[in-house]
Amino acid sequence: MGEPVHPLDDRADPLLSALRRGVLPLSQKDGLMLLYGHPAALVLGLYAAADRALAGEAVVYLDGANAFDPFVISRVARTHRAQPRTLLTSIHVARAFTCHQMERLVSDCLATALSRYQARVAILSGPLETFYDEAVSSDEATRLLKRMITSLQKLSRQGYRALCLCPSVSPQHQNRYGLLMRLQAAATRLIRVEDAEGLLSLYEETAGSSKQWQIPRAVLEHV
Amino acid sequence: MTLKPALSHTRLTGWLLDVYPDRTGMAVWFLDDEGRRFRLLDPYHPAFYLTGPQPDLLAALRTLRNAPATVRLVERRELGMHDTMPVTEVAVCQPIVFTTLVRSLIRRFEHVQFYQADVSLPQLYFYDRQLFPLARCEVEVTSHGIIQAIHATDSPWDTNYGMPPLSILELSLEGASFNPNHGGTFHLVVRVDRQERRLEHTDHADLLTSFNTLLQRYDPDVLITDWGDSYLLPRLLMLASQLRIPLALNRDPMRSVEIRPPRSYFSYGRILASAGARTLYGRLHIDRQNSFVMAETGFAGLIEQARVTKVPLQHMARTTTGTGITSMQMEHAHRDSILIPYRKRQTEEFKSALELLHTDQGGLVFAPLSGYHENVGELDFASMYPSIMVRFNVSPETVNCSCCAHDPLARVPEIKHHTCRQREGLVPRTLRPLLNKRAQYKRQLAATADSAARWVLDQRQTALKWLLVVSFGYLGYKNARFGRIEAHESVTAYSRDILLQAKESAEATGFRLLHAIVDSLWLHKPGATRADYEALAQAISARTRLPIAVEGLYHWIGFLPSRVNPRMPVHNQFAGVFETGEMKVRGLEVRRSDAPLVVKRAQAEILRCLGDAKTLRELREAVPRGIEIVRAYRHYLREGRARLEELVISKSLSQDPRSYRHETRTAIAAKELLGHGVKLQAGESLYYVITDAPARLPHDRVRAAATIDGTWSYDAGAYEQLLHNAALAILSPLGVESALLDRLTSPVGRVE
Amino acid sequence: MGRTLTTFTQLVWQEIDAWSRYRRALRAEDQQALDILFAAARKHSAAGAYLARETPFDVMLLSMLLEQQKQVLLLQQKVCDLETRALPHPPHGVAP
Ligand SMILES: [Zn+2]
Repeated sequence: MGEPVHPLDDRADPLLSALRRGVLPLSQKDGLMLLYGHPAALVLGLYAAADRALAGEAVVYLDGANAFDPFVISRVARTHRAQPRTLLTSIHVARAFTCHQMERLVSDCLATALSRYQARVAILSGPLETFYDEAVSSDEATRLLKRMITSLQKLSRQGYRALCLCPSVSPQHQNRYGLLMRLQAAATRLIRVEDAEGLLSLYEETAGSSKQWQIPRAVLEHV
Repeated sequence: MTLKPALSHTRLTGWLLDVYPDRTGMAVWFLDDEGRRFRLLDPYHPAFYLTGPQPDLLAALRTLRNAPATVRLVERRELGMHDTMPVTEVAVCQPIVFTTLVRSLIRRFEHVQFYQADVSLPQLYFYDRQLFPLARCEVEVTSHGIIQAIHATDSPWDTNYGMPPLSILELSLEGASFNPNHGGTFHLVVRVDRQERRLEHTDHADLLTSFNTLLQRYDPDVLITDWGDSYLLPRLLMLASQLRIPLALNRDPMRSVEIRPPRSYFSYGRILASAGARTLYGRLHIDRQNSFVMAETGFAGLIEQARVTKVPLQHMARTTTGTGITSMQMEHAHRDSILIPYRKRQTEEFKSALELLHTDQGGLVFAPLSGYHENVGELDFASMYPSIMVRFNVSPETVNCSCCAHDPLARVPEIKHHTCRQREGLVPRTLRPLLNKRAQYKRQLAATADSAARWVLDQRQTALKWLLVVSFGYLGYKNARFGRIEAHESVTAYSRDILLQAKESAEATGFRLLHAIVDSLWLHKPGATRADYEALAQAISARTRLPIAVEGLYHWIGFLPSRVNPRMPVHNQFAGVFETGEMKVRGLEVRRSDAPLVVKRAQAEILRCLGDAKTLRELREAVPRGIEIVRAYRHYLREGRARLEELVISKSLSQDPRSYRHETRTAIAAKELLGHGVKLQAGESLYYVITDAPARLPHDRVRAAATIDGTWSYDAGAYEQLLHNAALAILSPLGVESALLDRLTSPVGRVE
Repeated sequence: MGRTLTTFTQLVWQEIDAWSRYRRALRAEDQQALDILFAAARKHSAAGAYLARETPFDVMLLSMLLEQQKQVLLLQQKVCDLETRALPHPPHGVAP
């Protein structure tokens, strides 16, 4: 299980190759993994979903950033000579537009979905974006996030992997920075995504590790 | 003005003016048939509900032991549930503490579910007592003004309702054509009892005293202002407190003016500003400059919306139309013992990415065949989305119900949803009477000749139209209490299928589809008469079972090309002339708030001149006259004759003015105002004039309109360019190229 | 709850963007031809949206072909008209 069905050509897809060297294929010890920083992290989430689908796995995808893009998945499929439809059918998406919905999706619906689709991986794209809404008090957002983290930790103890992708907190929401810190503290693997001089760099920040990968920025340009 | 004890126990007939929570009930302001205003008290105890794990629930109830509330167990249903469930009802005996009480419980008991916890109390009162704003009422009161019984004698669904004899005092500023907060000096103008008074006191105390005298003498029910929320009332109140002269703005002497601060917020990807509010007790303050409903539908429309939605007038004037729709849904739920959730927690169902590709779509838009066409007919589905919701029973609890999963007739076209065929949903139940009432108004409008009566009917039907328009958006709005993504998706899926059915019917009878947007079709058939279009509309109605009508027949209509890329069709730019001579224009400067008046006026004149043409041939013949209009306006601009108000450009601040990084014109004008100490917020409108577009120093390029006095001049070239663009949009499909238009209208050589 | 997916019209714009380097290296007259092709894709965005295919560029290509086919038919008709008019025995004065 977990081995790519389609052998991978590094030159054909340098982005996915780089991800596979460092991040994927999300082994069980990865538990709750967090990629944060550059907004391109969200695209990496789409690639991660495509990667698992290429491997023949079902994926559960929670979209909190309203950024799910099936056309990226289609392109990955074509690059790897797979049927776009096949990949798209094995990715199961639900969107959250408020933090209450996000929390409920994670706490009440995720476990059921993972078992219904026989998926082992949940991808949470921008799980905190809905928590930055000023209409929700800071206290309430924190309370909901705590509940959400507890649910994620429970799932990871059950052997599921969760990959969270969090773009940096924008300046106007700096007062909610603590939410990201909470999620970082709860993560079993932590990777920072940075854009430097045309390179997208991934830095492992998990305790006791200091790995680093680089992906040419250009490969992200047409996604 | 409170009830005199001498009245003793009595029955009054009259009108409901205002309702708000008070210490031992709801304060109810009443205007009786003898013209007296009373403050009555209805000992009403608003309730909220809770459920949850037993220990948490008990703990929550323990904290209520000393609160002014009574607790009992009742049976209620959740939306979409067959069976009732026991919930704890907490009725609060002091409405004035309701909100604080509920909020503190919500904060403390996170595992407890709350219902009906944040419904505005006047609305809840209206639902429970079956009343509504400005209802005609009978009320029984004790000698102390305590209401024993109250009931409405007319219905919010009446179309021929009487209006209470409201006394109205209007307050505005003389000389304020832009936002007065941006600068300038003005006189206070009071209009009351058909008279206009200018308050020209140099002494502030005198000003306040004479304003107070007017308030006391006329005791208005309604205070209608321009800029009352953001400028007038805040300043008057500030003066009053500085000079220690109490201002008699409120009718209820026990209350002070309610203040809500301004704020900016995001809506559908745009930043909007809310100007804040100053609302009154026992008297209604409406700020014309801070009211979408007033701007769109006038006072008659505002009253219509308040009556059918049961949202108090002052709130309805300032809130979104969506609040009105939500209120109607909440009332239906309340009436049917359905619990109103405090926070929406309904989530999207999982679907495969492939399914998402099909469901996540809007209505269909057929790109227009660019250019001018003659003998065109437009057919519009009347309130298409709400009609779909009613006809196909689309509601959060009816989509993907468990009872009809295998009923082929319940299937939504193209996508994997279905809607219930057993029970009518909350949303259709709410919308059906609205659709009927609007249709009734439209029938009355067609049968009415009197222009004053027509005006009122039109404002009322427009008010209902807006409620219907937002009802669809609210089905998919993230915070809508009774919204659900799958319901939203079902409506658009139906709309696509229905538009295609209409296209097929039209094409089958020889019509050609020129353009279509979601619920409107523009069709052409050589020699087709009105009767042919009517017959087509009937055929489509019969096939889709949704009402569609002939909006009109055009002598000609032009679908105008994109200005950036003339080859690319765009769907929101057209101008056409109906057989009645009436014009319909979309997307052009005349319809845009950011175009200066002089450009709008020129474009309107060109359109009027072209509007005399009845055929494409006549249209082409009219082109030289159109060009002549452009030439005359260029001349006018070049000579420097244009006045300030003709040149002002209004733009909305897309962000906090201090965070602009580029020297855009809006940013320059904003900085100028900030320099004058003006407070600005994202989303509000700025007004500026182009003074010297190519100037090296940014602050020479534009000036804020409010700061202009003394000598100034405008950049004629910049305005000529705007004029040129506005004219070219209309004329280029008629063969007038940019260079030609420029040459034919050039003022050079004609002006000394 | 705003739309999540890119609309077909936006997809056309994205595609135009993706081909911008290609376009830049074309001769001016060829650039014009390319623009006409993409305008053809945009013209049929209703059909493209309704189909909602996972590989939208296929749909754009078909829309371009469709417009080309219309041009071919139009030209055929014109040729046919011209040929009819050029026949050696014209009936009395067929109006051009
Ligand atoms: Zn059913």
